[in-house]
Amino acid sequence: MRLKTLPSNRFLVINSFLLVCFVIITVRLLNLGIFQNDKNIEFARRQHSHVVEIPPKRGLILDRNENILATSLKTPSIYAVPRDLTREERKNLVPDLKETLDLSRPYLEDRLSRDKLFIWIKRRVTPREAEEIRELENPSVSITEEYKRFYPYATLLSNVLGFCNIDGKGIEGLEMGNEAYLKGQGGYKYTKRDARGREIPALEERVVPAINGSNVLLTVDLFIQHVLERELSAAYKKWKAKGASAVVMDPETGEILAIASYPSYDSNEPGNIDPASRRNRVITDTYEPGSVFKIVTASACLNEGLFDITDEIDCEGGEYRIASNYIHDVHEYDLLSVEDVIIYSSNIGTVKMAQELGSQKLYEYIKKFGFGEKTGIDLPGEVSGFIRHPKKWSGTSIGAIPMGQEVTVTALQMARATAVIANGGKLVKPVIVKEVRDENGVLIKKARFKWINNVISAETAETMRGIMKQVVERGTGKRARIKGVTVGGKTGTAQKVREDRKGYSHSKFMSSFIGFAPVENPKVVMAVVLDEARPRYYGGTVAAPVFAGTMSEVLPYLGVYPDAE
Amino acid sequence: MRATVKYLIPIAIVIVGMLLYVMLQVNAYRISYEIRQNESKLSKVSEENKKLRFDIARLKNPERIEEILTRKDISLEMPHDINQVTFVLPKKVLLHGIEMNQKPSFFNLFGLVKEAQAKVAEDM
Repeated sequence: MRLKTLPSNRFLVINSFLLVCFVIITVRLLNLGIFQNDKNIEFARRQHSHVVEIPPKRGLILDRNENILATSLKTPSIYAVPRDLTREERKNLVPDLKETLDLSRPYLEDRLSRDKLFIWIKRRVTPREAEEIRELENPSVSITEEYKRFYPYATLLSNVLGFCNIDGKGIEGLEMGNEAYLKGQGGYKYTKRDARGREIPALEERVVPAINGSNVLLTVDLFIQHVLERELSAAYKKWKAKGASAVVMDPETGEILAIASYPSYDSNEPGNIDPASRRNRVITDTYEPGSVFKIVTASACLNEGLFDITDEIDCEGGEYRIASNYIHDVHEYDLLSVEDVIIYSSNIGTVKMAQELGSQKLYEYIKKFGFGEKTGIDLPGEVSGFIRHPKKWSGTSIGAIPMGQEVTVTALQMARATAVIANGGKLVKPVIVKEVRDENGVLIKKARFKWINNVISAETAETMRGIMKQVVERGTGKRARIKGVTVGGKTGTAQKVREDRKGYSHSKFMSSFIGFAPVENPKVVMAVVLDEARPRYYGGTVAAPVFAGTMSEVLPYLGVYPDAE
Repeated sequence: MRATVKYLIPIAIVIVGMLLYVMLQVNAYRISYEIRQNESKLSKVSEENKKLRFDIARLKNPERIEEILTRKDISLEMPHDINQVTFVLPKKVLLHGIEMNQKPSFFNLFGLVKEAQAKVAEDM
């Protein structure tokens, strides 16, 4: 076979064409490879290199038996790429999103019309909503997963746990107070991605691992908390109170076993809750304690050796004048022993004891019992209460302060003062965070249970326990009695200061009860406060039953069984 | 011919080496993808585990349990009187009239005697 030869002119044309092509390619290669070298390398790096953020997992909050009180779970969030959307697509997408995600049309139109590559449509949606979005099969609307805080017991301990904002940052309660431990530290990795945008793990260049948040272990016991909340909630509703708070504490260590406030809320849905419901009233609300404060006056007088419990005090038949004021007792008494002054809660008897003690000494004991300063509990928002220095006392102050007026306290301070009597005279520091451990269980922080100072002698404390036992057995605190268990306590019914600050209200009261059990070896102390209970308002009537109801279940749980006799 | 082979052998070795290298690279990539897939699965399973733990916690909520008990009218209440019974183990135990030796023996080390007693107890 003979090959055809191309005519020389055609050969020349093809040859020239190839030469031109070759020149163009060479120039282009030179341009890309040399002149635009830096730019292209940078472009390629951006296209292939990939920085993946590794979000840290927020730590758990656990009760003392490691029951989960707060955890973080992945939930779907919806985002869009508005720049990819045409006007027509946007118009079609808005009604679908509106219906699926229950969002307003103006909101969606505003979000989708922005010239952005990423915009949140709705965060932390339900799995069902996410599934419906997935079914839309719209490439401009996608789903990613974010951590959201969940509280399995919903309202339980909510005023203490607090909650997190949409970005998972603690903004209330323990979530806020322990943010540094719980939040952890984000990590990242530099890696390459393939043509499909997938990460190529084999080409991982550098990894800085995330440090997950530590777990916070509380001193609170889930069961005791439940019982306390149930009893307090019942009283709060029954007596139509404006607010209620209670705390259960170990008198030896200061460990908080349960702490509750009403009104309350569900930590899973904190959005529309008014600030009053969010307060942890045990530490944020101060009140004039009224008669429960008499334990401080009595302890001080007995500790100073000014009185013996059998000494008799003239209670003036129910009316006694101090400077320009008259003090009254609920019932008219003439002679009462020191013990009976407390048992029957005589204002006149208490004031006469305080007069014997003197204002300076009384003030010193009040301070030693820890009033007028924060207890130092590891919860945010604690207030200190208020007690004036004796130099600023008026002529009537000595007739008011010994019976719990002109002094403001928190329920926690009252519980701590009760613990002084229960534990033999020592002031403890209340603790709610027992331990902080990292995710591998390594101890990071451990609470130190410490006694701050000796307030009264062990003998005085024992005498006071005996008196407070009598208060429950035959005095104003009979409704705190528990069959088969010895209980000590003191009731308080304090008039609230009028809103115009002109004297005390005759219709608004703070009803309270402080107590401990069993008297011989107190395992727990408790303070209960009801704000504006009605129609009944006596502490012995509205607050003492909360103590009895709680303790009758809590004591057997703690191994204190009622005597069969 | 011999000279050609002399050149071809090193070229073949180089080519085989390069192919081996490529194969290893491809496998490394493939395995790394698999590792990542498994990591992703592990993460999903761990997340599922966390969700289940959360569900358990929710189901264990004492408030919820009390509500169910109230609804079903199971009026449970705290025992009023608690009797404490102390058991004092006798030195000799009689089972079916047979005296069982409580003294430690060689066979006790392997739990044989315990097992035998348990079987007797089951028969009762």
